[in-house]
Amino acid sequence: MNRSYFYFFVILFSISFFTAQSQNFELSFKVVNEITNKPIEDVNIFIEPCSCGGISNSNGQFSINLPKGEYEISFTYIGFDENLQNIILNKNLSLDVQLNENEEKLSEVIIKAKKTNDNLESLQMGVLQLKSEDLVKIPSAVGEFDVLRGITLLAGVNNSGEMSNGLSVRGGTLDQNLLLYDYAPVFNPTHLFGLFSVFTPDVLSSVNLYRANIPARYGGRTTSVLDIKVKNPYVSKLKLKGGVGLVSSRFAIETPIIKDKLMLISGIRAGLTDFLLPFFSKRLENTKANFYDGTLKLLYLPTEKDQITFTGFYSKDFYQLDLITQIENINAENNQYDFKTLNGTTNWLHTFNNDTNLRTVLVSSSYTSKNIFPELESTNEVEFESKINYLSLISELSKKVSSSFNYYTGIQLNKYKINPGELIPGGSPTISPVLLTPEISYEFSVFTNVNWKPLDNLSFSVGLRYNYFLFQGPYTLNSYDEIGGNIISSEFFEKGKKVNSYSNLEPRLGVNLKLSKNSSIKASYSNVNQYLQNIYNSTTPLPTSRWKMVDPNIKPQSSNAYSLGVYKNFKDDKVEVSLEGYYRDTKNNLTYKPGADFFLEEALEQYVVQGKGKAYGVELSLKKTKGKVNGWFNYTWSKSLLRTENESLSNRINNNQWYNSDFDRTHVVNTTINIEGDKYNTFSFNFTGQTGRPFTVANGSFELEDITVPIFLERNNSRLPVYHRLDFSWNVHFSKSKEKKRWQNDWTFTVYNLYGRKNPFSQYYSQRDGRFNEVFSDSPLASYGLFVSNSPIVSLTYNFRFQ
Amino acid sequence: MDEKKMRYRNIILSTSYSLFIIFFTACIEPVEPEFKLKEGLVTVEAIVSTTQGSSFVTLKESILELNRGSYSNIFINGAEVFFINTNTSEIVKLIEDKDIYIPPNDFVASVGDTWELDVKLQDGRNYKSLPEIVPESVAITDIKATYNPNIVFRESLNDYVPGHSISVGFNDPPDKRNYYYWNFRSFESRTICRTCSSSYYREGICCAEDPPPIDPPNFYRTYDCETDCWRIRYNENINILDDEFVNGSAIDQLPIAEILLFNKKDILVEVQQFSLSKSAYDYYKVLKDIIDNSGGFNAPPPAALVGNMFNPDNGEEYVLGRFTAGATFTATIFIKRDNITESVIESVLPPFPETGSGPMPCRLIEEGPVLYAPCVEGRYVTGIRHEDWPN
Repeated sequence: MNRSYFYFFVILFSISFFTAQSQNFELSFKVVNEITNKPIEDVNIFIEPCSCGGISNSNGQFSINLPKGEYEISFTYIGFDENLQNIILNKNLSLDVQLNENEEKLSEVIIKAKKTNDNLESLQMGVLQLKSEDLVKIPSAVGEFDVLRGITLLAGVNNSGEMSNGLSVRGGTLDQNLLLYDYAPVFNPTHLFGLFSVFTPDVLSSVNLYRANIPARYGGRTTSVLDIKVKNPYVSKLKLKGGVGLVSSRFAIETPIIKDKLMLISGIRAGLTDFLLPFFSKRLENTKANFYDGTLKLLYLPTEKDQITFTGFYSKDFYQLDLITQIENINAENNQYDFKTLNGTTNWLHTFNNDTNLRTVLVSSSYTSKNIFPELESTNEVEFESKINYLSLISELSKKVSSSFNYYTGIQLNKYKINPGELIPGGSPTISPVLLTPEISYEFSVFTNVNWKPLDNLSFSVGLRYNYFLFQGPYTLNSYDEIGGNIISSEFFEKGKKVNSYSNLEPRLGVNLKLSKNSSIKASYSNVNQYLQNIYNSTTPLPTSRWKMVDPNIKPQSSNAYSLGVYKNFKDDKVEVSLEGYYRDTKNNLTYKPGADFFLEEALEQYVVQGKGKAYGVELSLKKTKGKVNGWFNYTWSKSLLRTENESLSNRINNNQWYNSDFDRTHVVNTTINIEGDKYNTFSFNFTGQTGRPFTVANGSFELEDITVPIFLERNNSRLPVYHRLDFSWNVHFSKSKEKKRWQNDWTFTVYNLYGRKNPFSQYYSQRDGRFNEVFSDSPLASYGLFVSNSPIVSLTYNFRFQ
Repeated sequence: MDEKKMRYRNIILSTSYSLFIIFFTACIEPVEPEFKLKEGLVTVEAIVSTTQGSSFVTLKESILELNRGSYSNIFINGAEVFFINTNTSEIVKLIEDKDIYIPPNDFVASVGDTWELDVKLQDGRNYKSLPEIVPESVAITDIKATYNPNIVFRESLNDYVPGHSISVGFNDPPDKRNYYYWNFRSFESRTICRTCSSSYYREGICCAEDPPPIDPPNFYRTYDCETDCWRIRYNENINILDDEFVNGSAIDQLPIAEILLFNKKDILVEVQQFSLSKSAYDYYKVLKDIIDNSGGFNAPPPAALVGNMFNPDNGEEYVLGRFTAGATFTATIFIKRDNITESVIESVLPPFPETGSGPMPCRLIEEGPVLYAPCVEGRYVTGIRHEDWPN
């Protein structure tokens, strides 16, 4: 009996226990359109962890019985944003779910094409990314988001100040970065001497900066690759976008041309308001500054397995500015700068199956820059023109062999033609025409990269790139005496004849060890060679600065970059923290002999010195990606040093000792905070602070006739004051309050340099004029700081969207 | 429009206007000059010229007095200085004269000769130059002055200032590459030869009276020149030309000097056109970058002004300056400026001579009012009428 009672209670207990554990409740939904409140049929409902679900009926309803527990439910429907719900099911539950109509009401064809493309653009280790939604949050100088300015807020990325014609990545020079705009290199990335980047703002999709293990598909620059992609116009209806600002105005259109077959995105921006400048300052009386840029991209889907895109890009600038040194030896009223970029990219993506794709890209890139010299008391204009033409064919096969192994392999053939300079006298009776010999070279590369995940927590990315660089005639090869100053013999190479070649094997390696679900260690190594460089003897290049291929006298720059990082995510990946260290050594780094002048100079090698470089640093990065308050904080400690080895005392730089490069910044702090207040208002703050840029102070002075001459024996032996700045941006999206409104407006109000910090761009000496000046005291020389912005710059831009 | 909307509109408009005002606010401001001074730097400036009286050598060394915080370049005296003609082996010994070494009065260099400079200091240091060939001079065929109310931006005034642009014309020799350098001296007549601040001019000095004079505090007295006198100014910029793009052309209206409107007195400008060697031109190009091209957005990094001088016993010593063989051609232009309407750059104290009424100042030295002071010869003043000064 006792035994029977025992069994009875055990059974009763077990039944009640299991009943309790497996108790089912009904979970039901009604899915409606958020705006119209109408039910949506065929919504995909997927529930985890049961991996179950279904689709909504014609009333937008769906129900399922599930055991008690916690569930994550996703609702997806073409043309609507995904809706994610987390619920605790401990009773019967009925939920109303609202789906938000997406900007794009896309067809299956487009969705499939989009997915194929997105997979191929997936990232690899060591990459910094700014998506277009991140970019728009960054306050800019004049109300527009800007790629290059946005990138400088990331760890390890800098520039040479407000007026900077490019980026410095981890202490490298501006020309050591490969800037790609839909695969086409951009040789001059800025308007208005560096105030804006040239990339048409409204058509950008993503910006990836590779600065550690540069993927094997890229080569040609020793420091980094900035890969900017234009949106693929996966649209089924017309969309317009634009803005009107005081410095520039812009307009963009996205539209299908043939439904599900041919689509277009196009954007244009123009800045034509320079006539206002004299109202602000007398100094700007002689200043002219106009620019425009435009991007057009066509997407053609001929079959289910093929996507063909064509991207065209055009950018043009014209300016005249007193604060730029005039070119010697041409007698002119002033110097004007006129330059343009014309790029074209055709990209064919063929999908063999879900795992195998072949991408073939044909790229043409052309950059033409002109100096215009209006002759004194004459209508004639003398012109100096230089040009670089780049053609490239890339073919890349990518295959996903298994979930733990994939690879890509490909070839790239580049042709470079540089017209270093031509002086066109026009009707001038005194100026003689000059035409420098064009430089023609080819670069053939084979590359492969394997991503292998042997263990769940360990993955490798191993790449190899082989380059064969061929430099052809016409070319005059000079030989120099031991000191390097005097030509002792010359040999002329006919057109098409090989002058010399270089071949390099570039290993790339990345290792990722996952320590836990949310932490990992990554290490990388990459070797890159650079065959093309921009020659300029100043802090930042002019648009007319000369591009030069390597030749027998100027050797390729070569870098070895090592990096190691620790990464940890917190709070369900909402907070990302990383600490990265890097070391890069470079050989054949280009620096310039004291007093070098390259204008229309045939034998450029006489004026350059190739030396060593090294850069190292540690970068701490903290990013909060989600929530009403989000943003990032970056701190970098770094060094960037250069050293030359020159026999001749007068040609030595810093007497052949290591010296700080122009891009050495010991400490850099960047913080961006976005406050998404409500659906009408978004506020952003951006603070940047960094050690001042190295510059050169005099070691003395002497009198020459009536001129006090500063004596310089060292380079970059001091620093400008600490640079810091706070920017603010307020975006008002007031049209969201109205339902079904296709026309949406917002205002962007930005304040650049909120507290009016005077950050000098440069500091230089000038002659005393005999007047007493407290600042100069008894110094033999006067000294002035050149400040680009010394007060808050307020801007207001009206933006609109029609979709 | 309701009141609230109107207010918003006004806010937006005023914001836009504020942007107009402060956009593109690039500006230049004085900052405290910074130096990392080094002492013992020897600077040699030497010219061997085809013009009589224009050849010279200056030797200076930088001295840093840490306790006083002062820095100066002092003249190195007692040196043995020689011009050596490597064609003829002629050796010309230079004589020390105040702060300069000069050759004998009749010395002139001949075109085509090669000269070297040899310097031996009292302490045994030795400096030599690389050889320099005396180039051929090129004649100025035309000289013009063009007035421009905004000729140059002056940082110290934060404004454009008026002045005359001097341009020259010449025929560039076609058979070879030529390099040019220009400098100028300008002469303005001077009426006041001495100004004494809180003092009076007596026997060659400004004499402060004890007990204080009857004049108000911070007074001054001006003294007219006893004889004709001229103020001399020199170029503050470096003007050079390489004929690489204009070889063999008749150069016309090439601006080579800026004569700022310090005052509206008539002015005589004497321009010297130097023909230089390539290496001398390179030196002046570096000098120009340091002096004139250092302030822009694309300023080249400063470079050491190392010319063709070296220490044969110490290859690691930086010897600054240069020994230059130059052939010169001189041209002058007289400019009348009394009808210019723009304001002058220099503010001038109005004349305030002694009147002679009341007690005589410094009466122990001299009785009666003093009205005149002599025109004392110097680098910036001369009493010698320039031959091209109009009568």
